[in-house]
Order: sequence, then structure tokens, then C-alpha cells
Amino acid sequence: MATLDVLAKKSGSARDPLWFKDAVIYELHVRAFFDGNNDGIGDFQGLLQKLDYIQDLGVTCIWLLPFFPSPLRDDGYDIADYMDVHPNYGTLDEFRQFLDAAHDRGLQVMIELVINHSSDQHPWFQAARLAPAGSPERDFYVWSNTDEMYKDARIIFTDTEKSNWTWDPVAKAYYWHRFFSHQPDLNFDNPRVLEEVLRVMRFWLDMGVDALRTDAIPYLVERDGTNCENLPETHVIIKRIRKEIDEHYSNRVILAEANQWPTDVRPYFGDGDECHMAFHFPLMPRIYMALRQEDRLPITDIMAQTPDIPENCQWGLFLRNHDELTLEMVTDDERDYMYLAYSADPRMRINIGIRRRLAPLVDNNRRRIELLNSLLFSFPGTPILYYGDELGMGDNIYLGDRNGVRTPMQWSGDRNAGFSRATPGKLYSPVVMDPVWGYEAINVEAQQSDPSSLLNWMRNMLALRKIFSVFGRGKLVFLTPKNRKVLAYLRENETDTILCVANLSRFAQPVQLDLAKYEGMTPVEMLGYVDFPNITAQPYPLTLAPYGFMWLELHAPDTPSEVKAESTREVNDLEQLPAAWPALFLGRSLERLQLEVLPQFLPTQRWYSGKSEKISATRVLDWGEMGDKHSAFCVIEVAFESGRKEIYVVPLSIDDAASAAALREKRPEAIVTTVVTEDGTVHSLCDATYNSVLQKNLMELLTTGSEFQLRNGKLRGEPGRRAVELRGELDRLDSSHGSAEQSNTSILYGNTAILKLFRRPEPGLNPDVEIGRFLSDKTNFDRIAPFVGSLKYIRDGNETTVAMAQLLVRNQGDGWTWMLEELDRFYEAAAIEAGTRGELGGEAAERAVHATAGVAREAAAVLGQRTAELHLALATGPALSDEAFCPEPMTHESLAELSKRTSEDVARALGALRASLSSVSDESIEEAGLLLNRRAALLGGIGRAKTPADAGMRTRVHGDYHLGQVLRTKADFVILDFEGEPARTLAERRAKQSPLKDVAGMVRSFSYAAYVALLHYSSRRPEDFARLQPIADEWQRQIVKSFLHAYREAMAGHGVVPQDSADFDGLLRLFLWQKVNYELLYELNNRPSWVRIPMAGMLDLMRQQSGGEANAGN
Amino acid sequence: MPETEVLTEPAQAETRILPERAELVFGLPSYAAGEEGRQLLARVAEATTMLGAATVMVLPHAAQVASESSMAAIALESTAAESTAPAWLRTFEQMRAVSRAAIGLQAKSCVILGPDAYGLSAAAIAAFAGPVLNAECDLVLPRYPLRPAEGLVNRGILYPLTRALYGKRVHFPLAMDAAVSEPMMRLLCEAPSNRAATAGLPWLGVDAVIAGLRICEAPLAVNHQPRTEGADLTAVLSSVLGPLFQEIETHASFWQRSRSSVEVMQHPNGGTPDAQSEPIESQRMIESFLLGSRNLQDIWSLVLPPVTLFELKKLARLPAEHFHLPDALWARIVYDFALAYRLRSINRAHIFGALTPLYLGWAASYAIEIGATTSSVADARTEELAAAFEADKSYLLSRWRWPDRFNP
Repeated sequence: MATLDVLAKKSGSARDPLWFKDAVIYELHVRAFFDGNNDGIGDFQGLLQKLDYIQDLGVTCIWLLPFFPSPLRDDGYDIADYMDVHPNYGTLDEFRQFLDAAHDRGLQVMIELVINHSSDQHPWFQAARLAPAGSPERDFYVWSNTDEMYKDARIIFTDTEKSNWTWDPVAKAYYWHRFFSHQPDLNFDNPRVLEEVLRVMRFWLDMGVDALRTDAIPYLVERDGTNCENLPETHVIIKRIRKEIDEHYSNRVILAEANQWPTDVRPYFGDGDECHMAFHFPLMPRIYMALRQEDRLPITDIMAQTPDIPENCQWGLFLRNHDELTLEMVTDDERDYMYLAYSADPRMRINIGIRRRLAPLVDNNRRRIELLNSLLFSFPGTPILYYGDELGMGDNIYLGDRNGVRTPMQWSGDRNAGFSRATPGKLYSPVVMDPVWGYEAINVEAQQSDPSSLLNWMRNMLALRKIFSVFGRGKLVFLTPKNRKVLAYLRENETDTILCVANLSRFAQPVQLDLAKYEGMTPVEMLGYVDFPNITAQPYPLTLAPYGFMWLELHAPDTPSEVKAESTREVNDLEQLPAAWPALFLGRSLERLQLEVLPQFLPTQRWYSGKSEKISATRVLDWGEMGDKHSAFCVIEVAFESGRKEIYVVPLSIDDAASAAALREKRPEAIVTTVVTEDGTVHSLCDATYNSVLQKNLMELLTTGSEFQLRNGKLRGEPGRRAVELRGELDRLDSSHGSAEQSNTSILYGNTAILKLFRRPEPGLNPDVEIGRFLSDKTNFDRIAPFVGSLKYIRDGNETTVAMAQLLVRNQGDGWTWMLEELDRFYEAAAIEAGTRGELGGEAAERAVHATAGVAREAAAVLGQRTAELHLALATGPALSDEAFCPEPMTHESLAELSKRTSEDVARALGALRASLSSVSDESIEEAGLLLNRRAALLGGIGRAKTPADAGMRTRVHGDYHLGQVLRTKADFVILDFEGEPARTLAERRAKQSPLKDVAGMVRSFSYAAYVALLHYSSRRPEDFARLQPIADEWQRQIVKSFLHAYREAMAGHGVVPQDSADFDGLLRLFLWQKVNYELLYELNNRPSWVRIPMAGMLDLMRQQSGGEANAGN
Repeated sequence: MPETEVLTEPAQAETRILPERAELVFGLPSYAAGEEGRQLLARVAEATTMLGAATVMVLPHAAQVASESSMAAIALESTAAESTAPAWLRTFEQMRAVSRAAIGLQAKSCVILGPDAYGLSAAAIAAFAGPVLNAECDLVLPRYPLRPAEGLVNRGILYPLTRALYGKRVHFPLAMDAAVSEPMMRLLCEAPSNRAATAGLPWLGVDAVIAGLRICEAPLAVNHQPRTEGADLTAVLSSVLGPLFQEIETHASFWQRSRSSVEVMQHPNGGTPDAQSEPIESQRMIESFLLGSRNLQDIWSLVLPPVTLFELKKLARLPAEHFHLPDALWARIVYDFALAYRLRSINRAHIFGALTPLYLGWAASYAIEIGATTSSVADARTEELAAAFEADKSYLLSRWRWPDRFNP
């Protein structure tokens, strides 16, 4: 009944679910727009009268700032009643009237959903104060008996608030607030709060509101020991909100206000299942910076740091809004520069930003305003205009808070700027009246009658932009001409290629663009439709006027002028594939599926590993209908032209048009092809891992130990000890397709369990399953995700593990991400230290690291201990009686072989470095030279290294151990993924090895973290890299020391690893050499800019080796 | 034998079981009972036999027809358009209604014949339906046999303008008859209802081009007599061009990407007999143009650029025998009016009043040029004009994108 479900959804006013991608949003405050009843305050009746103006401007969506009942102590963001209209602005009926009128004009409407906090005047808060502690009413907000909790959370409104806690004398407790003290935060740990929020949301969506801007969304949930921002629990809430929308509404949008770095905002898009849109906060100040510095770097830099987002999501872009021009997402130096460049008068500053409108920021220079808007309209995202900026309205810095940019709209030169006929003293805010910015000089009426006005320019630009969906939906590629005063980029999609060129300088600039890829095409200037000279293989020269910009459509060469008869479209055979299981796998249909459909579908999948080879054919080896008969579990063989073959698990489902459309919107890559039922109804063949019935079937098989017959083989579930916890629970758990898809596909069951489907399974026992089951069922080692069970495919007596399941562990993200965040804070502090003291090195660095890297050092020690516990669990106790795990001695022969192989690997890696010397960056060339010069000494050193007298044991190990394989939990770690290195064979991954291989992996991971974080940190100021490198080295040294110290202490006395320090160090060094060799080769081939990381590791190992030899000599 | 359903109890049509499925649906929304109607039904039945398709008819009064034909028939649902509106304004709604009925019958093809189809032969009807029934295309549009003096709005504006904008040479973009495939039926039904409710016209060709459907043209010997006698020319232009200009505004992002044009599939090959026509009287049209030239300068100057006004002024001074409006100038005038409609440079209610004398000026120029000639010569001249519209499309684009009044 999926079709009926879709029909039952309440649709928004837009027809296209992705309407927001093509939208142009106009942000306004009802209070400030037009006064319909002449009481001095704008209202909905007034807004209704001005809808024609908004429509005529060419925007497509109106974003209303809060209009709800409120004490108005934060411009309406302190809401006292979520389901009504502030009497100043009108009534609910008037809002409905406005909404209908907007929809009639094809305009969508976005309102605010302020759910992080309410006003302290809200009945919920008043009830909470009076309710007994612990009662549901009290728990609507966050209370504490002390103001000591959540100490790591920063204070946002630094100008007014000293703490995030405020004492309430009635409740006799502190309440939590991330913003003003009169805005207590709602408590999302109380399920009733979310229920209420959903009720509010439904109220407005049922009325027909098209979009909701979710205010302050990163702060919804608080947890001690964190900064209370961007927590996983917050994302659970957002997903729940989105689910509610997706289930009951269509063509609606949530826009996230998350003033964070792009990489931190990325999770708010989720897997396309959280927010549809999010503001790109850091771009805005950098556009202003680029303009003032006449240098494109700030823009290209932040865009380079902007991650890809799901296909069904979009960035929201803006130049100015109702708040200050926020400078939270810039570095301290950048902030200082921005203050100097754009706020000469201190009154222009507020909180961490500048409270000015667009036109005053650029000194009212028309060309600058046009240039900035041309960037806004042509960058990838949905542009958002702030009311009045289309006229170049000014501000009033003498008004308090941010009220200077919230003055009445200037409609005409009449009294009160035509905004209201009330006595001027009754206006909610004075109109702007100075000679340059005043309403007599700048107003709608004057600009409407002036064909050359900014208003008319904006209208024309918006009309032009709307013609080309590539601006909202296409990809962006920057060009890199030598002249950095020119910003040049291409916007491309399947149908259009547009070249945008902008001169950031106040003088005319020449530029030569490398457009060789487009040789033969004709650039057509888009505003005047003027043909430019054809593109050739030579650099394409352009000259730009001061602050000039050009948009050029690249047209393919004209087709021959003679009349071409339109050919009859070829009937697409694929459309005729049957939408039924036996039929799809029979005869001609099977042939088409194998020869045409699957070879096209597979290479588009992230889990498909054969992308570098050409497929010659595919073969359906086995299949069986599952669950509701709409899904089938399929095993596919892929044959390559090279003769090689791979096996893939490809569950398929037949989805009706409505389900497929919903899936296509979120995951277009999940659609395999079109199939047709007997009665001609068009369905889609889809990836069934998105099908909830199949998701549950797989987990049921796995937890109950059942068997399921396929045409040729069968599936068998093999539950582990913990499977019992899921039996009978599956019906109440919502299953969903996971986001982190690599070589496997993850399916999540609520917050309880995860199933990993091995897309390219290998015959034999999967080490992840083997070790997970061993640790969970036979040992007491509990710092892993508990193993639930596995699913095997059995055919002709051969067994292949195709899936495994684990219970989920609450965590704060993986160890790699956590460590990078720690390092970012560390470098920030270290940079300030270096700025104060000059260069940091030697003892100063040691002291600085000791003082500021305490958390990371402690974490490394915990990780060392957990690593040791893992190794002991794999080598002692039950392992002794299990042949697959029983330790074996590390023989002299195997040591000698290891040493020889290491020397050969080093020689090979250095050879590769010599061959690639030309691609090594200038910054790294010195280190490369040093390594190559010392090649002989280095190889000799490895050869001469003393063989450890005690090399410990060979045991089962993790096999691919690094920070990305651990999860950070509360002050601890959980270790994941025992699959080993995916590129190796199963036999290699199951082989016993020294546990020091894992230790070496983690030590190198610390090194990578230190350098990657430094590269990231110094990307804005490259000179910081050299300045902070000594401190990065020192951080690494201390972290490794803590890790190894804890590890060795926990391993002492077990004989699993060498007990003697020299033996331990010597053996560890061999594994480090192996690891670093691999890294060097990998980086040379894939990431030349990172090659300095393994080279630094090699040089460090050389130094250690020299030290070791010197010690041995002594 | 086609699987036509035989109605066993024609006298009790309201109680019989209606057909649930059909392969082909014939819609005759303008059908009227009588001898002509009976003959048309017989020819449709014969065409159905030739096509070999299970067919159901959709007629205004199915029960009445039951007594006149052995074919299965269902009643056409009533449409929103007022019955007093001109037939060609009601056609779009009727086409939608027939399409809805065809979709309900799960038909793959549907043929809709307009009010003047009574003279069509069974072979002509079958030929018209064939390409859709055989899945060769999604839309068959007619090529009506026009005499040189007929269809001047189509010759002078509709064909050249739609061809230049949408890139497909659909000679009768505003057709009263069509054969459509299932995707085209769905397209018709999905069209915004307000389009039909306001001034919807069957711009099937435009819809099909935008949807990427395959179009084919087939000769159809129907001579539609526009019921314009006594009608004000301005009202005619307004009712036809208003919706077209609206379509142009709606589909700006589509037509701005198309360059040059291609011929659509012709089926079957072969044309219609060449017809001779008498010279058209042009003097009254020139007088109307001159009257407009004297009285409408102020309004024209809100729509047309100085160079066009200058050319028109020169034209007004020419003696009647030398009266000639160049194709490029006419193309730009039409483009400027389309733009003025979008920009509301003058009230939309007045825009076609301002265009009427200019249109008469063009018509006079055309009449003088072709004199007494054949259809093929007139058609060739129409193609030349269309080529001029195509050549100057960039003029419309540049003005559309940057509508600055400060232009040449």
C-alpha cells in the first residue's frame, strides 16, 4: 500500500521535492516589512499587501523571522507560545491568509522552529519551576543543583552572559541555557519534549508551511565531558524530526542553523535523512575578506574544506542576515583583520561579529555590491537575501543589539519611509534617515522607477539565475589562473557548463584561463547573449573591469545547418524487464540483466571494488525470494576482461513507483533499472538493502540460527551468545541503511545493533566474525562491540560469511576524528603560546605539550592498556585451547625473514621516492634528499640491527590497527573491525603475527594524526607549519610514550611480547619500518602532498636507530 | 476482426456493462448526432477494422450513439470550460477529458478528432492513428491543407515563433486534432488545471517537446473554420497569443537552451494537393496599420526600441504598392511584444490592441508579396519567415535576459 501512503502524505505547495535547490530565499521580519494597521509595527496584513513586490523581485521562498507570542527580549527567538501569532503582527487567520496568498503566487514559506530553548515566560518553564524535581514537568528543561556540569561548553553570548547556568530561586536549582539567561534550554532527554516539538511542527506543516529553519540546532542535547555541541544524541533527535516529516508530508524542508565549520556541519545532512539544507557560515566572512584583500584564496580555501553533501541536500548561502556578520568561524588573525577592514567604529561590533548591512560594509560601492551578489547567485547553494539588501539599504549603528540592521523597510520617500502611517514616535524602530542611507535617498518607489537601479539589477539577475538550474544543482570546479585577484570557476551539470569569472580588485585585471578541456566550444556571455571567441587549446584570455564579473555559457559547436529529421527514439529494451522474480531471472530477461543492467549498475556502487577493470560479463550464481516476496537475495559473479572474477552479494527488490521515487530522491544510486509488471505498470528494480523487510529478514536469520533456501545454496544464521538480546525485539526497532558505506554495507537497527553485509565475500572464515565471536563468547574482554552473530552462504559444502551483526556501543565518534579535534585545540593553544614566546622548541615545547595535551596523553595511555588487554585476550586463557588462536613462538628464522623483507621493502620505497622526486613538493624536497643521501646508512642500519633475543609470540592480532578502528567512549575506547587489511587474502589476514604489528600501526596513526591536524591547521597560514612542527613532534613523542608505557605495563609478565626494552624496541622498529614503507609508497601514488608524513617517520626511525646503535656501542 | 464490443441491448444503454479496457480510444468530443455523425462513426469503425485494435469511443452522449453504432462507447465527462466558449478554447479541456477516459480504459493510444472531422475518410483516420498505435511516436499532429490566404496567424506568428523557440518544426502548434500515446495522455492530464481553466489552449507540440516525447506530423484533410466571423481581431490575437506568451514565460529555462531547429518525423510521406488562391485584399489592412502608426506611437514606444519605431515610421511613408515589412523586423516586433507581455511594460489587456495594427501591416505585406499563388509557394514563404525568426532568436534572448530599456 505504499502508493496510498504517498498519496496520504500532505504535500507542500511546491511540486518538486527538491524545490529548495532552485529556490531563492528572501528573509524578512514581519515587524519590519510593512505596517498594515498603522500602529507603527509591521504585520501580516502589511506583508500581504507587499507580496506582489516580493514576487516581482523574483525570489521564490519567504523566510519569516519569529512571529510567535514572545516577550521579545531576543527579537522573537524567545518564544512563549509556539502555536500562535504575536498580537502585534496579527492573528493565526491572518497568517493563514498570508500563506495562501504566497502559495497562490508560487512562493514557498519558511518559518522558524526554535526548539533548543523557549522563553522563560513559556508555560512549560513556569510549570517546570514549580514542579517537584524529577517530575516530567520539571524535566522539560535542564536543571542541576550545581553550576559545575557541562563545564566544557563555551559561552556563546560573551557580551552578556557569564555562565550557561542561572539560579532559579523558585525551583531552587540552576537551569541550563546556551544563549540568554531568559532562554532556558529544553531537555531533549525527556521524550515528552520531543513529542511536544513534533506536535508544534505538525501544527504548522498541516497548515501548509513549506520549510522550517531549525534554530541553534547543534545544542539540543548536553552531555558532561563534551562541549555539548554536535553530539550523536542531537542527531538522533534530528533524524526523528525528519522521519516524522518524511512519513507524513512531502516537499517540505528543514534548514539547519549550525554555525560550525563545514566538516562539522556535514553530519547535519546525515545520510540525506537529517536536514535538507544547512547554512554555510564560514563562506560569508571569507567572501568579504577576499574582496578586501583582493585575493581569491580565502574563498577557494574554505570551499576546499567544504565536504560533499548528499544529493538531496543543499547549502544555504548568504551575504548578510538579521544577525551580526558572524566571525566565529574564522581564525583569530582573520577576525582581527575583519574588524580592522569592516568595522572602523567599535560600535559596529557586537558579540563575535560586525553588525552592519551589506551596502555599508562595502562603502556603498555599486560595483562591489553587484560583484558580491554575483558570487552569491553563482556559488553552489541556495542564495538567501536579507530584506532591504536588494535596495542597498543602510543601517543604524547607534541602535542597540543588532537592531541597527532591523530597521523598517524603506518603501518610499514619504513619512516613515512609507512603512507606516503611524506617528513616527510609535514606530517599533526609527527609520534610517541620514543623507546617504536615509529613506529619501534609498527606497523601493524610487528604484522601481529607475531602470538602472540596484533593485532592477537584482531582479534581472534573479530572473537570469532561475533559468539555469545548474546554479542550484550543478557541481563547482575552480580554475587556478596565476592572477589571484581573479576568481574563476565552472558550474556544470549534465546539460550546462557555465564559466564564472570575477575580478576581486578595484582595478582592471587580465587573466588567462586554462579551458583546453572545452576546446572548440563557444563562450556566450549570459546577460547579453554575446558570442565570445571560440576556446582553443591555448590559455583563454579575458580582461575584467574593476570589480567586474562575467557569466559565460559554454556552447558546443553548432550542429550542421541542414535539416535533420528527428530519428525515432530507440525503444529501450531495459524498460521491458519483467517486474517479477522468476521471470526476471529467466531467458532473455536474465541475459539482459547480466549483460546490460548489472554491468552498468555495479560500477556506480561505492562497495564495488572492480572499478579499475572493465567488466566482460556478470552471472547470477544464486538467488532466492525473501520475506514479502518483493526482495531477493542474489549472489552475482563479475567476470573482467582480464579473466579475473569476483563474487558480490547484491540483494534486489522490486519497488512500486511511489517507493522507488522516495528512494530515488534520497539515494538515486540505489535504483538499478526500470521493470514492468504484466499489466504494464512501471516499477523499479532497486538495491534491497534499503528495503526494511529484507533488513529485518537478514537479522532474524542471523539471530535465530535459521536456514533459508536459495535456488542453489542456502543461507544459515549462526547466532552468538549476545543474539538473545535481539530476539523478539526486532519489530520494535526501526531498521535503516547506514551511511558509512565502504566495502561493506551497514544496516542499523535503531540504536541497538548493526549488521554488516560483506558485499564481496570470500570463501572461508571471516576474521572479523571469528575474532568477534571468540572475544564475545569466550573471553571477558568487553572493550569491543559485542558480537551478535553471522550469516553464512553455503553451497556445495563451501561456506562463505556474508554478514555479521554487533550490538552498537554509545560513543563520541571514532578515535581518529576525536584525536584530530583534540589536536586542533592543541595547535590553537600552541599557536597562541608561540605567538607570545616566539619559536617553540626543545624544553619549551616539552613543557607546552605537557601543559596542554593532558587529555590526549591520558587517552593514549588508556588506549595502550586496552590494546594490551586485547592482545592478552587473543593469546591467553581460552586461546590456548583453540588451534586458531593458540600462540606460537616467534622463531629466529621468522625474525630473520622479517628483517630481510623489511630491508627489501625500504630499498623499494626509496627507489620509488627517487623516481617520483619531481612530484615531491618544495616543502618536502629537503627531507626527501636527506633520506636518499642516507640510503646506504639506513639499509645498513636495518641489516645490522640486533636480532632480539626474546621476540615474544605470534598470536592472532587485530591486523589493521589504527585510530580509525577504535571508538571513543566516555574516557575510554572500544576496538572495532577485526577484518584485517582488506587487500590481503583471508589466509594472510588470519595468520598469526607479533602483536607489535598492531602496536606499530597505532604508533604510526598517532604520527598521522599529528601531521594531518597540523596540515589542516596551517592550511590558512602555511608558515605555521614550520613554526609548529617541533611542537607536533613533541606531541607525538609524548603520546607514543604514554601509549607504549601503558601497553608494556599491562603486557608485563605474559611473555607475549618481548619483555626486555631493547628487544621490544628493536622488534617494534622493524614493524614500524614495514608500516612506514607502505605509507610512503601509498602517498607517492595517491597523495603526494602528504608524503612528508611517512618521510618524517622514516627520518625519526633513522634517528632512533642511530641512537639504538650508539647505545648498543656504549 | 477487431475486438470491438457489440452492444447487445442498445435501447437500454444505461444498464449495460461498460467496457473496462481498450487498446485504442477514439474521442469525438464535438460529435453531434445526425447523418454526418452516423457517417463519421461508420468511418471510425472502418478505420478501427483497418487498424485491428480493440477500440472504445468517447462521445458526449454515449447512450445516444449506441443506437447508431455497434462500437462500444462511453460518455465524455463534462468539462470545466464553458460551453459557450469558442470550440478551440474548449479543445484543451476536452482533450484532457478524453485522455482521462482513455487512461481509465488502460488504452495505449488515443485519437481525438476536432469539430470539423466529418469529411475524413476511414483511411485518413487510420493513417492518422497509426504512428501512435504502432509506438512510432507519442504525438501525431495534423498538417492541415491550408490555402495561401488561410491560417495567417499561424503562418505569421504561431509556427515561426514556436519553431524558433522550441527547436522543432511543428507546423500547426495549435491543433484541434491529435493522436497521442499513453505518456502524452498522462502529460495532458497532469498539466496544471489552472492552465485549462484560464485560457488553456492545446499547445500539445510545446508540451511534447518539453517532455522529450516523440512528435510526428501527418496530413489531415480537415479544414477547420475558425469561428471568428464578427470577432474582433484583437480578441482573437489576445486569446491565442496571450496563452502562448504565458507558455513562453513559463518555459524560459527550456527554450533558451535550444538553438536552431529540426524537422519532426513526417508520416506517411507525401503531401496534400496544391491549392490555388485568389489575391488577398490588402488595402484595408494597410489603412489599419497606418491608423495605428498615427495613434499608437506612445504605446508602441513602451514596447519597441527606437530602431524598430524608426523602421515602422519609414514603412508608414511608403506607397501601398511598395509596402513591405521585412521578416527580421516582424520577428523582432513579435519578440518585443512577447517580452512586453512578460515585463508588463504595458497593461496586458492593451498589449494585443497595440499589436493588431502591426499584425495587419505584416499580413498586408504578405498578401502583396504572394499575390495569387499556390499553397506550396505560400508554405515556402512561411518557412522563410520562420528561418528569420530563428536567425533573430538571440535578439529575444538578450532582451529577455537583460531587459534594459536603454537599447538600440
